Amino acid sequence: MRQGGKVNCPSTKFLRGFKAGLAELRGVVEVWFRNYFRYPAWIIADVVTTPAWLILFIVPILMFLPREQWQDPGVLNTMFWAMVLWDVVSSGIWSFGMAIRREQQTGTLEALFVTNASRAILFSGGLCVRTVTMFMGILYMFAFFTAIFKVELMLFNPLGVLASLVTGLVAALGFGLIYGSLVLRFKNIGPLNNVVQFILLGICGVFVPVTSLPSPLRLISYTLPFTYVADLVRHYALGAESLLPLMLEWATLLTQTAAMLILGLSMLKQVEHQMKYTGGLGSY
Amino acid sequence: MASSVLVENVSKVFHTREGGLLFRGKKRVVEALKNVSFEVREGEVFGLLGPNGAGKTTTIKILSTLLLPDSGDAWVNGYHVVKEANKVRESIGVSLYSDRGFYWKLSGRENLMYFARLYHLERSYAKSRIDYLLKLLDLESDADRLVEEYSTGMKSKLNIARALLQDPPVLFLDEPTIGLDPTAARKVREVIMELRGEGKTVLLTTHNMYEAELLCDRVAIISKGRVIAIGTPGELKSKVSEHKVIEVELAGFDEGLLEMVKQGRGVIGAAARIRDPVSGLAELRIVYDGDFALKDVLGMLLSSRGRLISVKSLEPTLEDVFVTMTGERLEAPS
Ligand SMILES: Nc1ncnc2c1ncn2[C@@H]1O[C@H](COP(=O)(O)OP(=O)(O)OP(=O)(O)O)[C@@H](O)[C@H]1O
Ligand SMILES: [Mg+2]
Repeated sequence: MRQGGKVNCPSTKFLRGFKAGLAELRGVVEVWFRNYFRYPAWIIADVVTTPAWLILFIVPILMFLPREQWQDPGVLNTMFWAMVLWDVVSSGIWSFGMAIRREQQTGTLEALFVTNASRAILFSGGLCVRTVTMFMGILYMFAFFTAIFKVELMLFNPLGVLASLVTGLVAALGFGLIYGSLVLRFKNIGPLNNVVQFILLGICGVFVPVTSLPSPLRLISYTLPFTYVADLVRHYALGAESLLPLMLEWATLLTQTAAMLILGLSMLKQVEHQMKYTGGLGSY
Repeated sequence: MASSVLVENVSKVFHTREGGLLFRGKKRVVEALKNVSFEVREGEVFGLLGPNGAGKTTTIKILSTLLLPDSGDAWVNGYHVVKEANKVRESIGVSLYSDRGFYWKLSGRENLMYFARLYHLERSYAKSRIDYLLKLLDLESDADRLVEEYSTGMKSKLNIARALLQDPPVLFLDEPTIGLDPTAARKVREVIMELRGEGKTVLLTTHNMYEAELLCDRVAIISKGRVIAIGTPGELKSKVSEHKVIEVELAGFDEGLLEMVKQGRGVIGAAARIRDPVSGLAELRIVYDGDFALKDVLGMLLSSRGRLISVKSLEPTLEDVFVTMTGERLEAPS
């Protein structure tokens, strides 16, 4: 039996849970980084493909922009921050699904599920590695925009931007949990996420302001946290006017983020239950 | 004695589809467990003995909270496997039979350390526990090699080490010695006996009756999702100890012959294992009573189309309990 008797006091219980979660997280981070650094090709691929991806993405957009906007620092700055946001959000969305898929393939899912470790923490490993690529992406973008377009990047309120991006990442993790649950259930759902991500970020005004969207779409935008994340990033970085009064906007964003997380966590739990019923936990 | 594991009328049905692409493929219902009940007492080594597909792994998975039963109840260490799954997970160590299940790019030690963290073991305790387990299972010299370089046997032993990490009172070992060479298998059996000495409860599955006899205080024989007999190996064997057993090697075997033998005078049970489908080489195990039965059976075999290769007279074993009760054989004993 494990050491320690009954825990009655809620604060001890919480502290214990917190410490346990921390131990789990440490284990997960160690495993993922060890694994990442033992595949040199993986790292090289990340270093090489990240800028390639950027070029593929930015060049066509720029081709359609009139020449004078090319040099418009406002446009370029909006684009820079949109790309950063894209990177952050996609890291969050992909993380859990990627981790779950990998555990399915290594066949470790059942061994993990006989522990009492938090399921969300178990599958947060994808995020660790993704964070490396995320920072790499942001650095590359920074280099691109400053060296190639010679644009002076605007950043009025770094703390505000950071807070918005972190909240954006957390909201994306909520979506990530939903996507992860689908992976746990249906195993290989391939590019579904890619498509959803495009649509999601499209209607959230990451690339074009929400106010320029047709009104039915705009209604959907207002229910999605990324709308406010994008808006707040522009507000803090470029000094643009925010959609709602700041306090209200933050309150909305935080509520929606919490809702996303709760939805994601409960879906993961439900799918685990379902897989234990059908016996599909060990399959891939 | 208190019971460590209690299983009451557990049933499990799998709904699957056969092959096919996308949404094609016939629906198929597999009744993996039918009203299974048994009890494992505290400190006991208990074996589930049965052929492939009998439902042994399914039982273990239900008890490890990896599968939910369709009906029935089960308790492990006093906790209900569905309603108190967290408590059950704290009380058990599980080693499922699988060739995968580890991180191949990590060493054996690193793998164990990761799971130690997930079991919330304190770091310094985890370290010494892992050292101890690696030594216990003769894995010390390979501990820092990547698991991708491990042989099947090394992975099996690592699997058992992982099950022992949190030093649980109840252990579930699925086919603990399958695929091991004799030395490694002996090592694992020693470890199981040691655990028994420490007062742990061990539930293991096997289709090797020698192993069941050697290791288990009690055995449940399971066939096609049903428990057909429970008892100490001695008790089970006493069901057949009055009988006599022969094993016959025969080329050109056909099912008709087996049916005829089963109907023979004095024959209690008979089952065949096909060794080579092309030549129809088979091993028949026949449990019978009385000398006249032997004469009849040999007569049938000699007058059949098959070619008789050898006849051995044997002491009844657990396998013969199985043969008489199911008309089938267990897997090839190694
Ligand atoms: N996840 C699953 N989905 C569908 N059918 C399953 C699943 N798991 C097991 N079964 C079926 O349930 C039955 C019992 O399987 P189980 O794995 O429990 O057998 P076993 O006694 O462990 O056999 P073995 O000695 O081959 O390991 C088999 O018919 C098997 O095909
Ligand atoms: Mg099995």
